[in-house]
Parts: sequence; C-alpha cells; structure tokens
Amino acid sequence: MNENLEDQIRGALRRQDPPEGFAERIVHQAESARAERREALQPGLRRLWPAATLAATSVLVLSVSIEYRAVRQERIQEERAGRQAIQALRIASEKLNTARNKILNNNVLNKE
Amino acid sequence: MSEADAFAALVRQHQSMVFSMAYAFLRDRSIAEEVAQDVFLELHRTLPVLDSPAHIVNWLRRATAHRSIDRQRRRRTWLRFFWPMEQAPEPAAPAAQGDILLSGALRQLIASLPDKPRLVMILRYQEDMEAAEIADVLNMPLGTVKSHLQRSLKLLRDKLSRYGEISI
Repeated sequence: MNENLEDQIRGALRRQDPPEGFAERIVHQAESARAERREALQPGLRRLWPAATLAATSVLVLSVSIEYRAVRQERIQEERAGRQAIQALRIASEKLNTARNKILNNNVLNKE
Repeated sequence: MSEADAFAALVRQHQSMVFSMAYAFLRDRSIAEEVAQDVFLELHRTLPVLDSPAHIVNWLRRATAHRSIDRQRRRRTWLRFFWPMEQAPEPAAPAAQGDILLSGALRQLIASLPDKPRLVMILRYQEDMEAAEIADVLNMPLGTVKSHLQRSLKLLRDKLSRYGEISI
C-alpha cells in the first residue's frame, strides 16, 4: 500500500526539462556577467594606478631620506668621536710635556 | 573543450534536476526557470572551488533548495501585501473536481505541504535521495527528515483516500 503510494509520488514528481534553449541562455548570461566583471575590474585598476604609483614613490622617497639621515647622523658621531680622541691625545700630550719639563728642570737643579 | 563549452555541458547535464526541483516546489514554470537560472549563474561563479562532480550535484541541490524557499517567502510577502490572507485560497485546498489525474492531485497535495516537508518529499521521491543525504543537503537532523517523510506520506494517503479518487 505504502510502496504503491511512494511509486505514485515518484511518478508525479518525475523530472521535467526546462524550456527549449535554457542552457544556451544560461551560458550566454554567464559569459556576459564574466565580461562585465572583467570590465568593471579594469577601470578600477586604471583608477588605482596613479595612486599606487604616488604611494610607491612616497615610500621610496621616505625610506631614502630616513637612510640618508641615519648615515649622516652616524658620520657626525664619528667625526665628533674623532675630534674628542684628538682632544684627549692633545691633553695627554700636554700633560706628558709638562711632566717631562718638570723632570728635566729637577735634574738641572740637582746637578747645580 | 573551452571553459564555456564545459559549463554548457554541465548545465545540460543538470538542468532537468535543478528546474524540476524548483518547479515541484514552486509550481510555477517561469519562476522555477528564474530560480534555476540564478542557481546556474551562481554555480558559474562558484565552480572554481567545487572539486568533484559529486560536490557539484550536492551544491546544486542545496542551492536550489535554499533559493526555492527564499523565492517562496518573497512571493508570500508580495501576495500578502496585495491580497489579504482572508481572501487567499487555503493552501491545502482539495484538488478541483475536474482534476481526476492522480499525478496532478498528488502534485497539488505535495505543493500544499509546508516548505521543509515539501522539500524533503521532493528530494526523496524526485531525486531518490536517502534520508541521511537529505539531512545533509538541508542541514537538518536525520530524525526530523524521517518524521517529515512519515507525516507527509500519512497526510497524502489520508487526503487521497478522503477524496475517493483512488483506493489506496
């Protein structure tokens, strides 16, 4: 009884074909939609191009200037360190000269 | 075979399944055609992520089920706006006197079922799917699918007996 009803339902719900030309219409629409998406994407890229170029140039200029500042800062510090070293050597040399002169003077006085 | 040819072959292979599911659910050929069209256009966009023929069939059944339910809800809202509920015909109205064809009566009775049980019946008897497969496609517990099937069959049997159009 139940099987009979189930078979009858299967018969009532058997598959039907869509109207003629359905597949062709779908393929045509899908291809049109894909072309539209591609066209919509291309002007977007064209609009983005100058902004992207500007951004890349800005990043480049910024990084070059940061690098230049770092190198310059390093050179200034090196020069300062060099000057300080020379100053230190000069002071040490003066002290040594003073000490040497004192020793020499003492020796002369001792001899006299 | 070009990409367009491959897609055309895919549409031809599955068009009767998608169209029939939508038609059995919505009982309107032009709306069913629109639903089937939307499903295949969405398939065209989704195709790159579907990796096997079985996956494609499963995806098509699921997409058709969900789009048919959405379409039915929108249609109901539209009908309620222009056609108040008290004037609308009873969805479970018996078959017309002249409708002596059993298939026609059965289709009408199935169309009068609520959305989910109707989809369960369509997937079971049109697509010959097992209850577990239906549960997977409709994201529904297996027990619910089974109870929808039992209740719907009982309802159809009772109504057909009552009409006296056939003896079951």
